[in-house]
Amino acid sequence: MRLLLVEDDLALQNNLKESLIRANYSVDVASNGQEGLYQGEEYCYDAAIIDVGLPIVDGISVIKSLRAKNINYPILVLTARDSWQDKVAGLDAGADDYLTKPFQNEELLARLNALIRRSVGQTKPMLSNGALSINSKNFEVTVDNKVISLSSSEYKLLAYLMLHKGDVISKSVLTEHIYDQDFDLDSNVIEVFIRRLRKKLDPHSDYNFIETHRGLGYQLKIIDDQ
Amino acid sequence: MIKEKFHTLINHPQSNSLKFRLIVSALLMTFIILPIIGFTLSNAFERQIVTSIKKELTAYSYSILAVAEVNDGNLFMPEQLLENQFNVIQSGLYAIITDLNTELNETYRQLWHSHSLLSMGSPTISTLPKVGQSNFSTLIIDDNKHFIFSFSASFNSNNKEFPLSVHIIKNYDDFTGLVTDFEQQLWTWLLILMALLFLVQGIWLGWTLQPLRVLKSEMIQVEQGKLAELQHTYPLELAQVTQQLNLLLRTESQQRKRYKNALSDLAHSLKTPLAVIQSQQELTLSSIEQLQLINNIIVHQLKRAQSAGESAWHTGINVKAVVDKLMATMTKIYFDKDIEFHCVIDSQASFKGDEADLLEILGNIIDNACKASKQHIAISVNQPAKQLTISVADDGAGINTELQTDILNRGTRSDTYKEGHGIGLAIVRDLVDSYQGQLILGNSSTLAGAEFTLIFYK
Repeated sequence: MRLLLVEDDLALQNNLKESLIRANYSVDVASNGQEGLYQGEEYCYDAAIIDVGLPIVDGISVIKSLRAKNINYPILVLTARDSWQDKVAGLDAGADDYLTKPFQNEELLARLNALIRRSVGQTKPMLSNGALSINSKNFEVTVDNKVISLSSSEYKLLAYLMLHKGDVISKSVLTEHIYDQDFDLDSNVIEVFIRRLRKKLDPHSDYNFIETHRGLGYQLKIIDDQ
Repeated sequence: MIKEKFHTLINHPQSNSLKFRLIVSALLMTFIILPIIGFTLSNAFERQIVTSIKKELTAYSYSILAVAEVNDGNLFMPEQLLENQFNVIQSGLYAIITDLNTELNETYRQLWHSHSLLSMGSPTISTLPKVGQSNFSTLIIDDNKHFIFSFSASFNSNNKEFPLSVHIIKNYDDFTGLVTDFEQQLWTWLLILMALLFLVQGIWLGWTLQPLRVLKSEMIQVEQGKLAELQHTYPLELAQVTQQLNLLLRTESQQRKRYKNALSDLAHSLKTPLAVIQSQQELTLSSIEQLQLINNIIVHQLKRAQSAGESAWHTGINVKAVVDKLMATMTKIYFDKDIEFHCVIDSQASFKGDEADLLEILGNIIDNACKASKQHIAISVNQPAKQLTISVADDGAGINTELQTDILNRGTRSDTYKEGHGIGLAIVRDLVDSYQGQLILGNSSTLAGAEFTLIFYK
């Protein structure tokens, strides 16, 4: 999942970025409203975390501008102003949830996780597809109740496919949603990760979870639960 | 007695209104001054007529004297008089000549009377003026009132004094007719004038009081929050007051905004460093607890300071608009719960206070209800006389009596915050107190969960 974090306090920005990366997110950061707005419009994120009190353009205006341009990914507002008036103003502008400073990282991650799942119509933290299931809270992946150990990039790829199961997703979309802007984009990398994922999840080709559609992209097949 | 009554009348609460005063003075003008003018006029007219009748009769008496002749102690009068009215029977104008018995004043002899007096009862003349003097009065002949003018003169015949009195009598009817005519005319016109004045004064009253009426309705709108300030262009006498009022309204809200912003900025600059500390990985449990405590104190105290309270000037806030905003917010926040709100809201209900305070109070209460509820929340807002009642009920587990007192007492002192206990309700209680409202906790009879009822008095 690729996130946009707009926070002007650099210490907080750094700490948050670190903990988000540890939670298997790719994170782009912006330090003011203008920058945040530019990035928010330019890239296709899975969610954004926006502080209300931003220099140049305030957070509420950023959210309003994004929503006015029909950009619909979920937005979590961070605010030190915790009055209900501010909360109402933030959500009214188009945000989907709020978190008041100071907050615990776990709280932020849980809210973010819920927002992203909600945005694709999933309500439970456990995503499952036949024998395959992933827990978006503790990042545990199991096949036939056996825990599979994945690298961060592999997990991100699988989580994105799971959230959009049944859809054919192109390599460029996957690249966009899985890596932050500093990543060296090379389409071969996705192919390499897909091959590794297949090997780890389905070493004997019993399930064929991921299908390749030549020239179009990859698809996580929907498998009915027995 | 009358004085007392007057005092009770002017001290009556209703009389303490400009409208009442204006109406009383207008009625005074129309129904007391105008009739007085009427009476004075008719009186003056009557006197004028009497004077002119007296003059007329004086002239007749001279004309009678001019034709009278005395010879050898005998009075000779011509058969016909020049003034024809004296010759026509019962014409209304009569002349009598009597002698003037100076020695025995009580009796007199009638020496002559005009033809017009024929077939009428002979009048009894009460006063005979002395020679050279006259008298003007009234007398009754055949039950009819008449004017009588008497003038005494003395003829000299053969060196002998012959004093006599000429009495001219005139019927009252002419006079009555004239006066009645005049009075009829006068009162007709005065009545028309009264009606006209009444009408004009009514219009004038409406016109004069119209700005006050507009002011009153605008003030009500400001109180209800439908207007931010007075907008009508008021007459000079009121403009000063209304401009000052607008200035007061404006500066008050600006000051409140500035104060709030300053406090919010303070909260912001205190909390961001707290957020930085809390976002670090290697925090011990006790430092997290301490951070939470510091945060709670900041939140609670700053919110208490931000509350506008009851003392400030307030415009009314529409409660329904605030509840609607909060429901939209809660629906987003508690998306997964799929909460159903059941609302019975008086759309006219208004809260006399600060919108941020109402948002804070209801935000915390509805947020609590959302947390506690399984799926249903009932919100009712009604506005009985001089009171605003808001109640929020949920279908959660409800709260026992012990916990109810605990919730209400929590946060009375800043060092009693406990970790894990939200300070939302303590803030609600403080805010409600600052508006001298009431917060009642109980269990809902319809939804089986907790019910929070707020009562604000107006």
